[in-house]
Amino acid sequence: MSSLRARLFVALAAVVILAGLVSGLAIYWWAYGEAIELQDGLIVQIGSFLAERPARPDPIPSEAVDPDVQVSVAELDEAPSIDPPPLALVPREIADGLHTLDLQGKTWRVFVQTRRDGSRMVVGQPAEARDEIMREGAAHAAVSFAALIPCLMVLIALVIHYSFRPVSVLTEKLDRESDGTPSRLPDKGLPDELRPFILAINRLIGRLADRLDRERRFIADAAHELRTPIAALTVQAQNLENAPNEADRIRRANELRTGLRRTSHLLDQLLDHARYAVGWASSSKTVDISAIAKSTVADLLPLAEEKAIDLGFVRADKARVRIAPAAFATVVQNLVGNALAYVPEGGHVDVAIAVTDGRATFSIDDDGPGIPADEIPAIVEPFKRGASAMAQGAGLGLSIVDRIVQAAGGQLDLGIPPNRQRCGLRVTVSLPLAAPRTIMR
Amino acid sequence: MRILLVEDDAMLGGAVDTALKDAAYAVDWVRDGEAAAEAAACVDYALALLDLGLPERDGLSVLKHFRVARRPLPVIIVTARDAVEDRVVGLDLGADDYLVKPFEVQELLARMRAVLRRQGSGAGAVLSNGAVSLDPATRVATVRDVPVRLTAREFSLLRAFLTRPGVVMSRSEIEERMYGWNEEVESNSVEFHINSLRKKLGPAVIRNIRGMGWMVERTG
Repeated sequence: MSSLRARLFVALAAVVILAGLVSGLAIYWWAYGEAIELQDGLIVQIGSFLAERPARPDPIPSEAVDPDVQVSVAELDEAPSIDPPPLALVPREIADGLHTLDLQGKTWRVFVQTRRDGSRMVVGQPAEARDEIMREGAAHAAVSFAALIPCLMVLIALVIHYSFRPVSVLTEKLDRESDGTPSRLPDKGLPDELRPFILAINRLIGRLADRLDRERRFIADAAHELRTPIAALTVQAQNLENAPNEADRIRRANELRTGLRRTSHLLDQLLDHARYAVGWASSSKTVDISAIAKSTVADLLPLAEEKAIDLGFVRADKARVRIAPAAFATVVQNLVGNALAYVPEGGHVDVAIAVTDGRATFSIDDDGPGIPADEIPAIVEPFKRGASAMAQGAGLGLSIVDRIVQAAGGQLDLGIPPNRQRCGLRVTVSLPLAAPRTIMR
Repeated sequence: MRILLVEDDAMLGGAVDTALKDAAYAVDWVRDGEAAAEAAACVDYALALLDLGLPERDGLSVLKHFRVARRPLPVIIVTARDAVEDRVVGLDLGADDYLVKPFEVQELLARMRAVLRRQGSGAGAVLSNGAVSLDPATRVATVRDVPVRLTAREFSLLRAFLTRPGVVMSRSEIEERMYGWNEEVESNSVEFHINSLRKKLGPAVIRNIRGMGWMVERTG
């Protein structure tokens, strides 16, 4: 049963019915005991009263006997008894006191008393009478209770409905919510049990709204970013068509090809950005990031040679980190690629992987123009490029790296290389080391 | 006719630069707002093509700067921003036209011609002094109802003359209108192109005023 209301209603109804049954039984037993006491008291009193008198005085006037009460009196010593049957059948050898006897197929409660003169008498009443009292008592209790049950059910239903009103109100509000930016749920006048839950939902809504906002901005920016290269391609195609001579035609065709390459690179970056947004972390495994870094940097060497840049490792510790290998390769590619793009010809790019304090630190130092300190906080935003950035690029690289690093539980920092004054850039990616595998020995 | 191209994107800037030169404009291409303001201060451009998302100084701020400068410089905003508010802000700041990327070269050139036409002292689409007329859209000159095809340089030169008929222009004034910064000007190229124009259109079309320069008559 998934509805809390239904669950509460059924549970409460069961408790009420059970309590009713238990109290009915209790009333029954109590009434039984009371009825026995009452009857015993009655016959003992009558017996004691009659015992003070001589045996068989005047017969008890029949009109003085309430037919409902059905109390009978008999002498025990005479044989054969002149008394009317049932009580006359009481065995003569019975002891004084209270007894329950079976007489002529009926249960009787009898009181036997020996008078001072030694004669004995018995006072009796059929058990039927007291059973009836008992039954009636229990029946009254049961009937009044049964009459209460529907009222109780209605009350329970009302109480449940009223208690759940805040939930229904919230549900209606959520249902009315459009797909746009979700707004926070009202957190005033809530029951204490719901408040932390609603506050948690509001925090989630807040995070989702932020995320949605960022993605929306990203899509708008992406569309804008695509317009410029497409404009360039359009113009380049027209230029190629207008080429006045063969040499120009070849040059312009090359420009168009470069433009296409750049546009497809931008598309790759957009795809990477989308790919590393969510759900990629599941392909993580424990890998040695220095091996990935080495092979990725090796792929970039021709690019470095083209600009006569000294690209190399200053340190490459073995560092086992839980991350998707392709994602880390993307990190290396983007960061080293950035360094190669911005460092002037003949510059230096130093890559290092160091293991310290349970973290792996991947850092890239270059002696390029660096990034002014005030621009650093915004530089990881998608499409943000340094104000003085002249190199080609969409400004997505650092944003992609930041996404990957954050999802892997790491941190991306930009700063100035410690061993250089003022110029250059140090990019540091710090990642938590993977838990060491259990050592079997 | 000299154009200031303000575009930070190397690929688009290069492509537009080539397209404008193909269309016989002299082009100075700058990549940031500061350089644009400086260039506009020292060269008398016929028109500026202005991107809005610029480093150093935003395009709109550059536009404001143009507007407070002495001579109003016709400006076409060329940008990826297509929101109505952006257009309104741009046009309100005094841009003469607004072109959203991506665009066709034909459209850019047509809009440039339209803006230049509006700026040029009430001149129609076809420039003319009565004897010679020049259609900037087709680059065809007409003399006595005979159409004559011109090279890019010849067209550029004739357009410079026909924009201001009756005004004598010195060699440096002509060079400034025909060539961008990074174009090498051969020492006698102005004379060379004037000669070829005279061959095509007749010797009387361009008059030489000795010691001053050249001109086309106000009325043929």
